[in-house]
Amino acid sequence: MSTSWSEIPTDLLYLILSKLSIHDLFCSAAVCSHWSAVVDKVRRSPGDQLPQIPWLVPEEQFLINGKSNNRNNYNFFSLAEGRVYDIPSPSRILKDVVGSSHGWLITVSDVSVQLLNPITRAHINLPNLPTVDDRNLEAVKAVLSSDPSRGGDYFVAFVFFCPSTQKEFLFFVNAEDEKWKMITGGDYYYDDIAFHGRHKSKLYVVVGDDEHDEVMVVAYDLITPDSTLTSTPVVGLSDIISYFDIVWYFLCTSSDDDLLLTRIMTKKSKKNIYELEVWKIDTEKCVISTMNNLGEYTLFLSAASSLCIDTSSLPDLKSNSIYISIDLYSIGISENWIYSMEDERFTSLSLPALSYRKRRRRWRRPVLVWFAPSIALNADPIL
Amino acid sequence: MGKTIKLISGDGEMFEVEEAVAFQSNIIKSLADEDNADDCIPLPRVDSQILSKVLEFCRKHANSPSVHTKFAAIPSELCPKHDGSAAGASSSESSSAHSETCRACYDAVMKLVQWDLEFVKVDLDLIHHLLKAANYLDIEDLMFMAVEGAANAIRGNNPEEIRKLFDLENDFTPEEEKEILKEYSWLDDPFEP
Repeated sequence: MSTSWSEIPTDLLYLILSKLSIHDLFCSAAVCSHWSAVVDKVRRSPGDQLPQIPWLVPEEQFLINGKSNNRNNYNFFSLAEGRVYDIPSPSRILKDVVGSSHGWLITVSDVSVQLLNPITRAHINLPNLPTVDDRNLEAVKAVLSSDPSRGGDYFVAFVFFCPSTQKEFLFFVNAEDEKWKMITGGDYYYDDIAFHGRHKSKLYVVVGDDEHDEVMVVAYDLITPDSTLTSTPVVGLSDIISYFDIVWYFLCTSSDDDLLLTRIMTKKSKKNIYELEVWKIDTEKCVISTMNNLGEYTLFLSAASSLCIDTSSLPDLKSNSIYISIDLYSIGISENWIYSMEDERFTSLSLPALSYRKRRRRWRRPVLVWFAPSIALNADPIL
Repeated sequence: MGKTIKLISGDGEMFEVEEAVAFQSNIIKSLADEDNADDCIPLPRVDSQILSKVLEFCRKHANSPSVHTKFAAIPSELCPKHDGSAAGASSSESSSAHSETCRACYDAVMKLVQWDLEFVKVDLDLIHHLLKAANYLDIEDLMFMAVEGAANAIRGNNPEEIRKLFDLENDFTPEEEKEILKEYSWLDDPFEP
């Protein structure tokens, strides 16, 4: 019986290589031509791909340690490996990251908007930023409905803020569209948005008003025959404790299609994250229920993106936990935490590459975005 | 000892094991169902050294839940604490709810996983043999752990180190190699913050 690994059957090698994280998978592709071919196969079979443990990338054009970025590279911090990856940007200008989904970054620079997959370097230009009544808009957050490299349709939705009127707006665009379409805006604040549901055309929005007395989750079906989109109320949240003056909402979808809402509340003077709650939203029965246990899931929350990762095939990743990277810059803190659902405790998430160097002038700590890299390649090798 | 199965390795050695151990292999199970109860089951493609390792694994896993997901949906009947008082625990929903909340089951699974990881911390030759045997005999958990053992050998190594470990030749042309290095250069480019 031969023991040579060079004669291992392809289907067995496939099983082995499909277990690897991005770094190890790509190293494997450089081993020999057989392994390279199998890696290619793994990358074109979305069903067999493991989720990746997320990376962190700065929202703005800083290096991960807060220094300004003179290179043309995006900096990514890999949580699992504790190291930084320096990945060249396909365009000359580094853009701000306003969202991340399905292995893509949604970036904005000036008025141009782009989807970028840092791993494959694929990029898609979207229409320039819209205006409302000729007033400029700033991007607050963006989400993408599905992986464009899989072919097929996709949606991109944005929350925009108009500095001159202090109002927020929701816009979306379909693949191949030439203009942004407004969903709604001007009356409320949109605390978070997420695509959810089998057809990935429903946008769920956490909507609040000025005093945050009432918060609702509503749905917009972006495929409607009418030109106007109406919202379908899903659930309402009562009992917002006004004791807390900073409230964050994070909406995310699991791979099993659960819609999860997390609320984090803190008080300016306390400078400590105070309370966290998670709910599961049943979008068909329009019922919201508290989750005390995330089971296999672990959440990664940041202002520009929220991810829900299934840890059952990732033994290195703690389940039933929430990794939080939020910016309380307005009160002078940029914080990274891990919250254990079981112990109901926050522990500081140490990110070794991101420490301040105190001897010289103070560098700004960048606001970070969670990003789950995807190894996926288009299923059709011709494209 | 309950009902036993006789197995003959490729090099002629006979192993007698309990059904619960041998039936971890779906192939052995289906062969035993067909055959006369007194006959031995020949396994010409597995030699005695490997078969004895395989049976060691199967012995540990007999009467245990499958560990190839991190948290197995453990039926309450198998829970060491609950002793088969499994009223209405047959639905998969209540099984996973059980394993979520039952500390004893969770610990048992974790212990077994730890044992498995040690079991496959062996040289790559042995892993190769175990992988082939698990594939041939259709033993799900051993397959999973052998794959994991091989993947572990790859993790954290650069291409040259992987080639050395697995005794593989670099058969890329110089152009191909240049392309690959260009595409993946960001992987190992040391970044000085």
